[in-house]
This record gives sequence, C-alpha cells and structure tokens, in this order.
Amino acid sequence: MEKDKQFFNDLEELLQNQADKFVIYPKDTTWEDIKTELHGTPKWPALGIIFMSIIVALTISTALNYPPEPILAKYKTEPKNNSIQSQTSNSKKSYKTFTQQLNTKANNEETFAKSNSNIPVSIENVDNLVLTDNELVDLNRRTNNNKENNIVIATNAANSDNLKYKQESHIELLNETHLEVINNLVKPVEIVKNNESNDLNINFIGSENNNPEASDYLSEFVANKYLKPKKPSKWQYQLYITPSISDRILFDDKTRIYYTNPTTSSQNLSKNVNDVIQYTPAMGTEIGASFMYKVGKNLHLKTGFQFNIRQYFIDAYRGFNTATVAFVNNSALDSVNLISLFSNNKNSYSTELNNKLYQVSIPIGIQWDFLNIKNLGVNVAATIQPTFTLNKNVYLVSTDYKYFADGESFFRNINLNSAVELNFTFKTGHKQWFFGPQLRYQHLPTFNKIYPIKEFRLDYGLRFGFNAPL
Amino acid sequence: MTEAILIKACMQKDILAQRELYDLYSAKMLGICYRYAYRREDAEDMLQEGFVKIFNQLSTFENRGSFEGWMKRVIVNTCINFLKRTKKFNEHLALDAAYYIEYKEESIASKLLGKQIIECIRLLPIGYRTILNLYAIEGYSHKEIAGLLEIEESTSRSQFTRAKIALENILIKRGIIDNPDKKHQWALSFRN
Repeated sequence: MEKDKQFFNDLEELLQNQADKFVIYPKDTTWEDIKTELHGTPKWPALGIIFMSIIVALTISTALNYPPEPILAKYKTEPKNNSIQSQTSNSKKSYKTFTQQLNTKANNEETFAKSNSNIPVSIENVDNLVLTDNELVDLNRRTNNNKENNIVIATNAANSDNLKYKQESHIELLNETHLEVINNLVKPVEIVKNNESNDLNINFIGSENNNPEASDYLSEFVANKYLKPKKPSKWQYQLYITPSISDRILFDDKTRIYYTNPTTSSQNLSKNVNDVIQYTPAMGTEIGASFMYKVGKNLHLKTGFQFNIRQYFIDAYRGFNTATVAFVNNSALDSVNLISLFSNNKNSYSTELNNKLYQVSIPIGIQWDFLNIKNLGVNVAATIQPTFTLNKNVYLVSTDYKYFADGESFFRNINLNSAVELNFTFKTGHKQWFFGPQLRYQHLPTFNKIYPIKEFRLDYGLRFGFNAPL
Repeated sequence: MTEAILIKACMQKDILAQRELYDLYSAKMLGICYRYAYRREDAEDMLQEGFVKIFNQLSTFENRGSFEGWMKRVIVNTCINFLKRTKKFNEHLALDAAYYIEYKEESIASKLLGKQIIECIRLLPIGYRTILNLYAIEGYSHKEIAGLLEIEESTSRSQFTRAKIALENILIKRGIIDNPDKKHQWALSFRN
C-alpha cells in the first residue's frame, strides 16, 4: 500500500514536470483572430479609399461633362475652319415664323468666333438656317436644291426618320422630353438677337404655345451651343498618379548633451543619428486631381486635391524597455518616459517597424510650358502643399538612440510640403498626357518642436497623368 | 519590471504589447489547452477564447501571485467551459476501455518524453483526463474540482483514482514507465 502511494506520488510529480515543459506553437492565424476579436478589423483605410474614390470619380465626371450637355440633344459635328458670320438687324428683335427663313440681311456683320481648327463649327451663316413645317434645316449644305440633301438639324417626332440622314451634322433624339420640344417646332417661333451679348434666343409665339421649358431647350441648343462657337477655355483639369520612393533624413542638434552628466550620456550620441538608426525606404504613392488656369501664354496657376501614402521601415529588435525622450525645456533638461517594445539592440529577434502615413493635401503652384514642338512639349511645375495627416502610425527613437516607442504623443498632424516636377508631354486629341520625375520634400519635422530629433521626409518618383480642357 | 511594463501596456490596449504577451505565453498555454481538448482544432479555439478573456480581464489581475499562474487559471477555466459547452465533457468511457485505447493508438509521433506522456493523457476518456489534469497537474483540490465541474467531491476522488490507474497502465504498456513492482526506478530516471 505504501509502495503504491509512493508510486502515485512519483507519477504525479512526473506528470507535473513533463506537462510544465510541454509547449505547442499555435497557428499564425490564431493571433489574427484574437486581434480581430479585440480590436475589430481596421476600418479607416477602407473608408479613406472609398472617400478618395468618390472624390476622384466626382471630379472626373464633373470635368468630363463641363459645360453640361443640353438635355435637348447631343450634337455631333466635324471640325471646320470657316468662321461663322452672323448678320444682325438694327432692331433688337426680328420676327420670323416657322415657315420663313430665320433671319434676313443684317446691317452689321459680327463675327461670332475666330477661326480655330479645334472649334467645332457647323453653321456658316445664320441666314441659311431654316425652320420648315416641321424641321430645322441647315441650307448651307444643301446641294442642287435637292431637299433630300438637306441637313436636318431638328425635327418633330413624326419625321424623326429624317434624322438618320447624317452627313456632317445631326441631332439625335434622346428622350420623350426631347420629342415634346421638337413637336413644338410646328408652332410659330421668334428669333431674338441680343446685340450686346450676341446671343440668339428662340421663343414660341403666342401665350397658348408659350412653353418656357421648350424655349429654353431650343435656345440653348441653337443659340448657345449650335451657333455660338466655343472659345478656348482657360481652364484645364489634371489627373495624375506618382509611384514614389519614400525616404527620410534625421537631424539631431544634441544640445541636451550639455545638460547631461557626461558619464551617463549614451555612447551612441557621439555618432550621427542617421548612422545609428538603420531603416529601409519603401514604396509610396500620391494620387491627385488639379485645376489649372492659364494666366499667360505658357504659364498656368494650379490647385487641387491630393492623397499621399508615404512610408519607410525601421530595422528594430524585440524587447520591452522604457524609452526616454530627453529635451531642453526652460534651460533645463526635461524628459518623458514611454513604453518601448522595440530596441536598437541587435541581441534579440529582429523585426521591422512601418512608419506609414496617409495624408491629404492641397497643392498650390505654377506650371511653365517652356517648350512646345507640335504635339510634344516640356514643362516644369512647382507647388507648395499644406498637408494634413490622417493617421499617427509612427515610431520615434529615444534620445539615446536605443529604443523605439509609439510617437503618437509627439506627432504633428499639419505639415507643409513642396514639390518640383519636370514633365514631358504629348497631345492626343483634347488630352495632353505627361510623365516625368518629381521630388517632394516635407518642410516641418514629423514630430513637434519638443522632440529634439527632427525627421524630414522626402519622396522621389515618376509622375503620370493628363490634362484636358474644361 | 519588464513584465509589469508589458502588462501595463496591455491594459492600455496596446496592440504591440498584446502581441508580445501572446508570443511569450501562447505556446505554453496551447500546451495546457491541448491536454484538455478533444482535438487540436479545439485546443486552438480554447486558446483564442482564453487570450481574449485574458486581455479583457487584465484589470482583475491584482499582482497577487505570478502573472503566469493567473493566466493558467484563466486558460484552464476557459477549457472547462469549452468542454461543458460542447458537451464533450459528458462523454463517458469505462475504465477497462483504457487497455483498448492503448492499442488503438498505434504510434506516437514524437519521441520526446513530454510529448509521449501528454499523448498518453489524451488517450484517457475526457472525464478522467480532465480530473487528472486539474488535480495532478494544475494542483486543484477535489473540492475545487467538484465546484468547477459541478460533480460530487467523492466522484472527483474516485474518477481521479481510476484515471491514474488507467494512465499507469497505458504508460507501462507503452514502456514509458516500469511496473511499480520493479521498485519504480523509472521515476528517478525521468527527472533528469
């Protein structure tokens, strides 16, 4: 009995010893599951990307649709070099009905537009724009007085087949609203020329037919879009993306050394901080949209909205300690202690700390097109960029260069960057594509003025994008 | 001191500190879970649930006793609750079946003694295994075990005795220990 008891005691001791030494390493996914349960999934980067996508989509769609197309019709034409001559009457108003020619001889000829190969022009003379029973016809291109060759600009619903007769210009019926307006063409209209603004307005005569909506459609189409030539816009929009390398430079004036006991100060401080802290530059990106305004022959002002990702990796080693940030305050040495989970001591497991920032900025600057040969060109641009940082995922090094700690409490949210760029351009249609090197520099330190080691970030990359007129 | 810093950082929900704590103790805690669990996957689930409790209840650790001891108690309680919840604790196997179980498991992959013994414990029916773990390894009293498992104290005692005999038979038959009639010299040899 005693022997059995001793045996079982020994067995228990054996079990305890062996069980205590027994370890199994969990799967990598277990920590991820725990982290998700404790902290949830990170949401803000996704929200940020969605937010940015919406802004970019709105910017592009606005820019591509500016000025807005009239609801009445979508007009297609081929470029012509002829200038539009319009004859206007001495009187402010001249009246025509739908069975007459639009206008008669005018006392003063006015040029509606300068000749420009890039401007779509279709009507050579207002005199030859005719409203028939149910069609708006351009007689300029009528050949051999053959009605079959008329260029039908607008018609009522019954004759909409005529619109299939397409040569150089036509209108496409778009929707029911459009049909309703076209049907009004059978009603008497008046053509009103405003001598001051050179605008043509078309109104339906008679109160019972006075349809303001239809009148607006027609006026906009005939007077403002169809007859009135476009002037080259001084406004352009620009979309771009810049894959870049994010780098950084550290400066430490080390004035705190004079307030420290020389025997206790770190040996590291005799070295350049950039040599002590090892790091790896990483890939960053900037995406943006700008508006440019032409202020001179080759000079543009520009501003816009930009999203930046900039990051680099610090080479660190695991281990918990206290990171001390010492600084001079009122001519005396002061310090802040932070919890550190990473050190610069190589006697531990190595890891990388990702100093990654998400930023939004508003670039404001100028662009000078100093070389243009046919469709090719070169320009330079410079911008200053007030910048707001969206996150604070940064690590700072203790002032003895030994430990790394969370730098959130010293972080500076608002900063100022500047960028210079050289762009090589080529034109395709209305768009001017460009690419070229860009350098961006952060003017204020990443951390506030209390933290004595100043970090300045810089990014160098290749910029791609295009400009197009608004 | 360093552990105190780590605990403080974990209480502040510092994700890096939590990862550090997890890296330090997860292997050991999974070893505990593995002794209680029916399958390896269950052990991973127990570990996850246990660590979530540890991080959420860290403020209840009052620096009485070791931090590791406190963590072990949380993990063991989590394992017991897991078994109760999945009803695996209610599985029952007769004592005699232990002989059969031994032959069912033809081989133990690891040649290491600790691994072999743990695998032998895992061959026991879940009721025996749990009480053996709690009493012989974790050091709970039969009264505490009775409260924890909601059984009679006498049941805990009898189950433990049976569990020990079953385990002894398995260990002897696998050649891990000698028969006690042979003056149980094995015990001395395994302590080294």
